Amino acid sequence: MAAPRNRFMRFIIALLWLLLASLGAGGSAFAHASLIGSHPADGSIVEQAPAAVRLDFNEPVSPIVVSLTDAQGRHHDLTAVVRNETIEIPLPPDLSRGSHVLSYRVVSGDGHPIGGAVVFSIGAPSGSANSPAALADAGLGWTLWLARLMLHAGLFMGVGGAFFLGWVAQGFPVGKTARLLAGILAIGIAAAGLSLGLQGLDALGQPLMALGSSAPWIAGWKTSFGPAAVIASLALVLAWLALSAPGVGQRRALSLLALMGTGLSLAWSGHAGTAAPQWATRPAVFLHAVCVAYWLGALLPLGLAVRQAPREALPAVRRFSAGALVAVAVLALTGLLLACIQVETPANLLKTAYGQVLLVKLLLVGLLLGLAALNRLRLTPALATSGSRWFVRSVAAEIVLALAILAVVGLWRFTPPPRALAAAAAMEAPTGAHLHGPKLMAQVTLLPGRAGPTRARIAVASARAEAVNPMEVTLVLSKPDAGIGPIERPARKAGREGWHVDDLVLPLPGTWQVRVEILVNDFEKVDLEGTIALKP
Amino acid sequence: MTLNPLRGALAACALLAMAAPASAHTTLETQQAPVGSTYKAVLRVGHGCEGAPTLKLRVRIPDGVIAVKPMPKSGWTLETVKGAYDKAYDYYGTGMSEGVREIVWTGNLADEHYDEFVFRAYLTNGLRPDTMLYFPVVQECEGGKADRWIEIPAEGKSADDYKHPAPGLKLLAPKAATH
Repeated sequence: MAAPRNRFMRFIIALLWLLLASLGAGGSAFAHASLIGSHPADGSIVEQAPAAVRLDFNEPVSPIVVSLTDAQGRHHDLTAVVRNETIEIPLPPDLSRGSHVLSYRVVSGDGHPIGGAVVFSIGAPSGSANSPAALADAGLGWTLWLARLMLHAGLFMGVGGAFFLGWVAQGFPVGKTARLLAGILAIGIAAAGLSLGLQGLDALGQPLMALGSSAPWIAGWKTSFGPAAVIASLALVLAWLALSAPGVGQRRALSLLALMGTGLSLAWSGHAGTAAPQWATRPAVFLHAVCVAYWLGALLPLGLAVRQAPREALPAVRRFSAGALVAVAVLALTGLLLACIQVETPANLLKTAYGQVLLVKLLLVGLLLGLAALNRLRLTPALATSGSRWFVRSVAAEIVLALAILAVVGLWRFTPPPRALAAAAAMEAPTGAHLHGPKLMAQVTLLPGRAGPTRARIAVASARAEAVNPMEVTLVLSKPDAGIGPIERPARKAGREGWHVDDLVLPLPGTWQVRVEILVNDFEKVDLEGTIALKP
Repeated sequence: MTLNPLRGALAACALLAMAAPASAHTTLETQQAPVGSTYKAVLRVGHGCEGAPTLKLRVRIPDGVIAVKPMPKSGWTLETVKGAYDKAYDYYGTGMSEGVREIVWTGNLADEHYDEFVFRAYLTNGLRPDTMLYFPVVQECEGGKADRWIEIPAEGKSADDYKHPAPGLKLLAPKAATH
């Protein structure tokens, strides 16, 4: 019985020795590898999606976890191929444009893990498309504007004209007028199609030359303008059918549908229809567009009819005039409502490009109303007596003014309303964190405070808010809950403004861990830690 | 086969010996010492900075460590920076209020090679046993690179939580006076 107990005791003693030895060894720190370089380099922008990322360490490592957070914020677990100091990580094949974060944890020596992240961007950093982008080329801008002008002319003058012929002016000599309107409608349909591709070019940031490929058409289709263009085309086709329909009932039904389509198309996309509250703005845009079509659509047939046969046209002119009063009232009310929502404060009328366009438009509308009033009060009564010359001239002037208004309104395509500018400014608003330690404190500000490319401003002061002059400042950001390893960036000293980090890309919104490493002097370093919240 | 305590001890020593050179950190060879005694510090440098050769090693002497004598190294020039201590210390009955605050070795050590840097110092009685004493070290390398082994673990953290921990020494209670 004694022998086994002895052996057991020896075993225990040996175990204690081993334990003691390992405790002693544990006191000495083991090898930590550090990343010497990577390809693509941290913070770099590459043109083509790389097939793999290579990480070079200063000593052999073995990877534990390697993952990629892609530009869409999706998480990919990846496997790495190890060759001594280098690990190579094949990437998923179809990475999109934008910023991707490769996070790694490796072990070296005895098994102490170290982690980090490499951020690289394909094409351009993520989120840069969100900022108001300049048009790819000026030619595209003007082509877009022209296509939109022709589409609006087709919708308001073409569809409105068909409605006028169907509802207000039956019995007019249709032939020449109908041919002219059909031409306007055809131009409108062509413009609707072209606009789709141009919209896509604008969305993709491609030049006019790229219109031959399919990509811009698909991209245009996916924007809110896609359905709007289809509805507009349908409205234009319905109006064209209404012009050639044999029966009065058919004409009326088809042209009414076309008029509704015009309103729907404009309410579907654009700055105004997409503003909040949509229950107010969409119906307002719809009514506004319908009334514009009623008014502008009447001008061409009215002018032609009065020139041919003033006396016969008189009842139709009076009918139109009665309807126009209602239309102008609705236009004014809906216009006022939309302007209030879009412009927000009267000061924005002069301060912003959107407001200036609105002022010019209102000036032209004022002239148009003046002409309309002149027609109604002086020239219409004169039709019965002294002839049509001045009436026709006035209507021609109204048509020119109407086209000018459409041309001016087309500029809104390029001027975000103050409402949207304010929202964009809110998106650009900074976020920050105050980090406090026993000796030092730091204020970290991210500008803009949302996911995507951003810049960091770091102000360092002593705990009693006295100025300090550290040797180096390093910013370290990580998002452990999303598996994004520490992104480490040295800060650049920017005079009295503190320390700057400019090439920062933080791909995900939410709470990030932030650490500021401050090298006070050669031998003293202070780490301050905290969290910072990023908006989407 | 029987295990005896001696073999166990040998095995343990072997483990220690194997473990020590694996370090890529700049660390101290002897990692505990009693206060009120002379300590021989051996700084072990296992790597350059990110692959670059080491050109300079600077050691900051913490408060409470006096009478520092660095050991010259062949091939390296040795300098010291002297200054006032934070207060006057008693060194075997003599008051000492100034001395070496920083040691600087200048030379060349390739990234593939390992070297040791030695100095002797007196750990004064004012130091508290059962705490850690850190010797911050700056390793300056070719191309303006530097590894700063100066991170002092915060409360509740260990040196393993840092990328560049300062070489540390655990202070023990003073040895019973024998003379």
